Amino acid sequence: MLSFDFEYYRPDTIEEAAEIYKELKRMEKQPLYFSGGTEVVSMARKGVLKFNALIDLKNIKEMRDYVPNEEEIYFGANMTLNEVTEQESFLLLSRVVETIADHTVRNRITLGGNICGRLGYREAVLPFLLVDAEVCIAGAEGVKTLSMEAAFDKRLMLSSGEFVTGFKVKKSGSSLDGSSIRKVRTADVDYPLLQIAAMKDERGIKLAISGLCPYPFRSKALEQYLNDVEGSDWDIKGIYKLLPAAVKDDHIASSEYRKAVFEKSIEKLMRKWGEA
Amino acid sequence: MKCYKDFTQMILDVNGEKKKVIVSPKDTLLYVLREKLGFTGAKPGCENGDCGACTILLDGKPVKSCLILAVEVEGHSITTIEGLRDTPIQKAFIEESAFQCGYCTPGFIMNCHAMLNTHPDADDKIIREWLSSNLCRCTGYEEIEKAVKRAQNHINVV
Repeated sequence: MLSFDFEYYRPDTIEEAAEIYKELKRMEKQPLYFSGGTEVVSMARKGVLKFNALIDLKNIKEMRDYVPNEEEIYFGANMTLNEVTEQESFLLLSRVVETIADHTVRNRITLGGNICGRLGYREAVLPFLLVDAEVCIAGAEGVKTLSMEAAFDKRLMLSSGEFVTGFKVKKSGSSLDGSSIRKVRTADVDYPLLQIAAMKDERGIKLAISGLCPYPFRSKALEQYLNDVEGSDWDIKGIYKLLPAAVKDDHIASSEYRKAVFEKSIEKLMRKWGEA
Repeated sequence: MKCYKDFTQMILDVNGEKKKVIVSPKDTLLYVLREKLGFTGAKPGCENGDCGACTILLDGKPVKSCLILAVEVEGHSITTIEGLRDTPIQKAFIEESAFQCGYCTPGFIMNCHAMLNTHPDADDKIIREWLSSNLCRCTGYEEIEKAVKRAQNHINVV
């Protein structure tokens, strides 16, 4: 049982959800959108998250859909991570999300919930950052579609009252060869010290990273550096100045430890793809 | 649109029976099952989604009931350990002595039962992946894995 009272709303449509949010704000309440709920319930129990109204988005059909067609694939934001893992149209996304949390919890964590979560990992966004994906965002003005590159900067840039309804990727991008590297401290189920999602196309290696810095990112400067170096003639220490933030140093691992794990992982990627 | 502002009477489908219960939005499913409906098989452990002692099935899939609000599951099918009777995995746990203190056992059995329904021929990789959702502090993992394999044999013989 949580230690504070709140109201619970379960809308059936996107419009109802946006409308009730607006109405609750007008009444000076603190509404919060909610889907799988794993992070909301655990953070609320610890007292680090407060709200007095929850808007449960699970009943909204468009947000549960998975629609692969000839041109693109649509992933509803309410797909659970296990449902995402079962699809085979975007294998890199499957490989990345199948290692988040544990199998049972992945029956509840949703794609949208992981990407919009408060924890700084948001691993599911990494493959989307590599394939010029689009994100569908609903709000009081309706649903808009933005490129993920424009909408994601450390986190999804949502305005008050907005929520994510789904993600779209071009079929051509999603079918590229990909690689997922996840490093944890000891147990299989843990937050990542490092999660890399990487792809290679005719322009070279692309990679997006979580766990290393305080937020997930794709660094085109880093990609360019890796694609420009030849064979083993490169200085791995030189890549740190290309990161968007300092390497994390926390109770899970020191920055030196994370750097060592990162360097080994980049070397592995370069061995796989760098000389091709 | 459903809206619950305070204590509300609702009907939950638990182990195939309709149960009338009064819940508040802040009640977790684990709390309602144990404290209001008397299904004490699901255990409170970490209450943070880590240990798996509270695992139940929601529409046939294993979930951690400490991370779910009771108001979310109205209209869905809930199965607790009390809803299983003489299943292959229960028999196999006894035959392999796959428990010591027994506190984690209901959660393990619910998860194993769901896995065997989904993957009757689960290989070691699938077994490890599913069972990594549950912790046993008596470290009885080897016997639990043996129990899963014995249950697979029971199922395949039938």
